[in-house]
Amino acid sequence: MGEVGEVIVVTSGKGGVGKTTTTANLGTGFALMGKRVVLVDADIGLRNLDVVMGLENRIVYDLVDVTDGNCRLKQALIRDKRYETLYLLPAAQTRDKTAVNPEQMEKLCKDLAQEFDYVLIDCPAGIEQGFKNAIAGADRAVIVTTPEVSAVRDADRIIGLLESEGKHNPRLIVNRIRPLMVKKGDMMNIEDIQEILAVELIGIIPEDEYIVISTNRGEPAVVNPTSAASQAYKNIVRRLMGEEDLPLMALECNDGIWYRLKKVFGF
Amino acid sequence: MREAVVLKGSRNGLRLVLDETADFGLVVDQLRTKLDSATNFFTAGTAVQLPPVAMVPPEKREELIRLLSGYGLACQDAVDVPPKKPAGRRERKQMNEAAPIPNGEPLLVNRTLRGGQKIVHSGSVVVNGDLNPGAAVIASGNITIRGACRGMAHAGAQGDANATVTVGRLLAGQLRIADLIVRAPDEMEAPDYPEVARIVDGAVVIEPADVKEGDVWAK
Repeated sequence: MGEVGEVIVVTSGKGGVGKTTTTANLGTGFALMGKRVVLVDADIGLRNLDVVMGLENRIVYDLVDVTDGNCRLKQALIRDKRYETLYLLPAAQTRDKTAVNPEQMEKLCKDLAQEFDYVLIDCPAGIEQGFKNAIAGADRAVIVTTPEVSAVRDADRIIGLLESEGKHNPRLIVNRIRPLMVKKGDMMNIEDIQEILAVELIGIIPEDEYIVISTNRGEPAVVNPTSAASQAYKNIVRRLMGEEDLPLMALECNDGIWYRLKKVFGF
Repeated sequence: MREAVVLKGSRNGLRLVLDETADFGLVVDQLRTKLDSATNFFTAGTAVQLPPVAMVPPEKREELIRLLSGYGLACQDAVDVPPKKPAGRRERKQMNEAAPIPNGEPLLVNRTLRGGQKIVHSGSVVVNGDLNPGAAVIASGNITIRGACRGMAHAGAQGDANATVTVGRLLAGQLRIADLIVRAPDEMEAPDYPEVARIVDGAVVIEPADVKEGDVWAK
């Protein structure tokens, strides 16, 4: 076995800001770049990642089966239907967060990092046991927030908790930005958010209706080049792979008639 | 078994006391057991003062810091304050304050305090960073926040009405000095200059801080 892979946890504190969507899209993005990647759903009892990935009907074993020793790790890994290098380790649905402990998660991540280039962990909302489990084995953290005061508050708390666990320098993704609202001053802008959180920004995802469609279809949006969020996810993947100096996309107010026409005709 | 390590609560917050004659491995083991048995007792961000450098060589000190920070306890803060300095004269000058610092060494916090983190200290506290929403500093002496203050600062928490709060940018919704609590107006202009809050005639007064050339605020 060659180099050991990197374990990245996707976390936010607040629910509904797009952790699972981000995990699914970043994971698929890594696979698009030819990397071996596994997505770990750490949201035991409320599993979603399998649905977003469209792999629900293939689940036989889950994460708790692995930590309990009911099956081997490889038996629980589900290969994605589109990409050969993309795998999912689903969460158990019939158990809860206390079914695993941080030590077990740490070992699991270590084992997965032997086999994969990237291990992406989808963290549950909250700061309790589930959060502690999810971050236990992570080498680095990606914080997802939305331009809302409540989400930024929770992100701040999470950064503090990560620091006290010795996990410094998390990266920030601001999700669901609506450039037009920011321009009008109706939405927090990136500077406002960064002033409070003071961590390095790794990407901005524009609000995109296609995310709803893709989630319901079980097909991550990053695959669809016409989706506005797709390019943003791809850029984040490249930055996570080491292209730190890749510039952030300029936010455009894509509501003009020309933009819509272009979108209809697909050029 | 004799206790090789004790976490003492003193006026200055938690203090780590080691048995100099005990084996360092034993000290670490006992400390770990103690912390394990009281994980809920210590709030994340609680400051622990380490024994002076003369007692613990740097590499052992490193190990203690690592161990404590693993439990969310901040110890580097206390380390920044030399243990035997006459009442932190430097800090007092920095804070541009004539009032003497009440009992206890000043505590220097060299980071931003994030939501949920809380520092309780008997003495003065200087934060070299921001105080974010949901974070709190409670000091029996003065409080200085060099960055933006959006959280809760309570100076003179044990009743000292002469205590002051000095802030780089005061954006907090609430401020406490001694037994007074003041709330910011709902429509507040965000200042971009340092301000100081103190009690004058039984009311909290906030005014621009007196900034001199070469002061901490001058960048």
